[in-house]
Amino acid sequence: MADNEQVVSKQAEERAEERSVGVSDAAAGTTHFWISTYPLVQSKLLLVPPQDCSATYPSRASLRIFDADGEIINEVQLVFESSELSVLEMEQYLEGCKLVQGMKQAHLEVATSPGITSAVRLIAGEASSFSAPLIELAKDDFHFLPVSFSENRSNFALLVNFGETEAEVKCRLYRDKRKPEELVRIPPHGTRVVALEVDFVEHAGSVAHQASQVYLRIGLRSGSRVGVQVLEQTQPSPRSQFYSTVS
Amino acid sequence: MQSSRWLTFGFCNSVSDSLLHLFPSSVTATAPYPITTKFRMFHGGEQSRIVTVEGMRLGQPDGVRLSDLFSSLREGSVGPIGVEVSFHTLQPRLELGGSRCVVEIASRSASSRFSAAYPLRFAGFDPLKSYGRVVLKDALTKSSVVLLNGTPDTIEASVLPSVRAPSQNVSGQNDTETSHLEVLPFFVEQVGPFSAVEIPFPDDIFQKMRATECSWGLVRGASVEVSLKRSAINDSARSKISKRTEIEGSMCGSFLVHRDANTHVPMSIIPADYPLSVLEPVKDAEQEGEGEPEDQLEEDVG
Repeated sequence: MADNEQVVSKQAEERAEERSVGVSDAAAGTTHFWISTYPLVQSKLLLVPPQDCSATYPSRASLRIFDADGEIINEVQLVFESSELSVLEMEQYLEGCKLVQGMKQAHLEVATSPGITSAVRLIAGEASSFSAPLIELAKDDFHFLPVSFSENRSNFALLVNFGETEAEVKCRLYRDKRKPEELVRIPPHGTRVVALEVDFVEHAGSVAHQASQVYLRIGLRSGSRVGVQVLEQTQPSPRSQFYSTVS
Repeated sequence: MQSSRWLTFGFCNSVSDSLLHLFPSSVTATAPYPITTKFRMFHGGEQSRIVTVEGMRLGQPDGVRLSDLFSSLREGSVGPIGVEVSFHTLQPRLELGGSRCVVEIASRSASSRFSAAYPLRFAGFDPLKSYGRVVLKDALTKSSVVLLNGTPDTIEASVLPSVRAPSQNVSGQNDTETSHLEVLPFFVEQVGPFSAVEIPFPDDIFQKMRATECSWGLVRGASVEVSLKRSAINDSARSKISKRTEIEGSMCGSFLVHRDANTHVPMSIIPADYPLSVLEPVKDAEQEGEGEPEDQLEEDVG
């Protein structure tokens, strides 16, 4: 975090009065991310200056972090220089995040001043990639994503509910002529992860560890807004691993 | 006949291989109507003949290796290879706007998957400017930009960062107190006809930016705007270019590539984001097809 940035982090109970700082105007943009921390992958938030920045002035961003069950675990208000790239390491805000499905996972909502954009970087060991924005689904909408099964890869479907009501998402795997599917319920503001090799083990079976190309179709059955992505973990050697999403 | 087309790129060499994942779909129909897919490659000033693939169906995803479509790539190729992909259907009322094409660049240690971009639509000779996307330099990542020109005309690409270094006053000291900022253009590049080039962001510009200290070291970065415009030397050339673009559209685009700083393997590839108003819409038959080479190669690899 740059020295010129002021960070205020408070627990959920203390946040009510501070919600309106700077970023509630209509022109501000809100972006949603799925984030995680050790032992899976570290998430770093980048706040990117506007394109037409010809002078330095203070910009603001407001972060809300929800755990997998949709409870707010942290809220952060940032004031930073508009002309500089800002990097925020998210681990410090995920300490209170409970383990769900064996991992610390959370829903990050970022609201920024007009012109500021946000991105999340995934870092595991000495490998780094950008987490693509979640693909937003509306009701009865669906999206295809490519998935590669192989011995040194694991794949996770990431599901984040942006809405105020529970959402039902249908994940269907296209492998040869078989199309097994699973229904996943996501609490409001919460997240869920489908470990494809594990949750579709009856259908994937031992094939999951042979190199094969499959496709995942994710559709929203109920709920208002859900974001989806596929996270691929590649482990070329026992000491190195790499995570990527579909940009 | 409806169609939808994209512009993208891949690498085919001893380190990386490229796959195209194709998702023909429609919001107006679910029946598995037949879909024809066409591919064209351009690289090093030359374009390939069009390869037509039959056998795909609406709502059924499929994938194909780039080197299976273009056998010349099996021996490997230096640098990025530009690829044009299009879906076509004979169903007059079938909307293909929900279709997608995703490219996977796979190496032994990592795979990078990204969406193909819609071609840009030039109006006159005004530059088309992308929205800002972040580029970085640190111990883990080095960024570059891939510029694609699938047209017979030269295009000029200007890559500008949003972050400006503090300007210097007359005594050579940084003028930080008054917060005046100096524009530091990364580069301006002429991209020849039917060419795809990858240009790394020069280190010296990053060195002028203020570094942010993180747990893995110092990070320098900025968001960049990629501006593309058609180049023409004289009025005669300008009118020829304008005429051609009206007929063929403009298969131009740009992508940001983030490579591992040590292995140089592509880790993330992000399409530069242009305003919707300059993207090519889904077309019907009356609007397209006239610019295709006459000697089409028909091959069913579906």
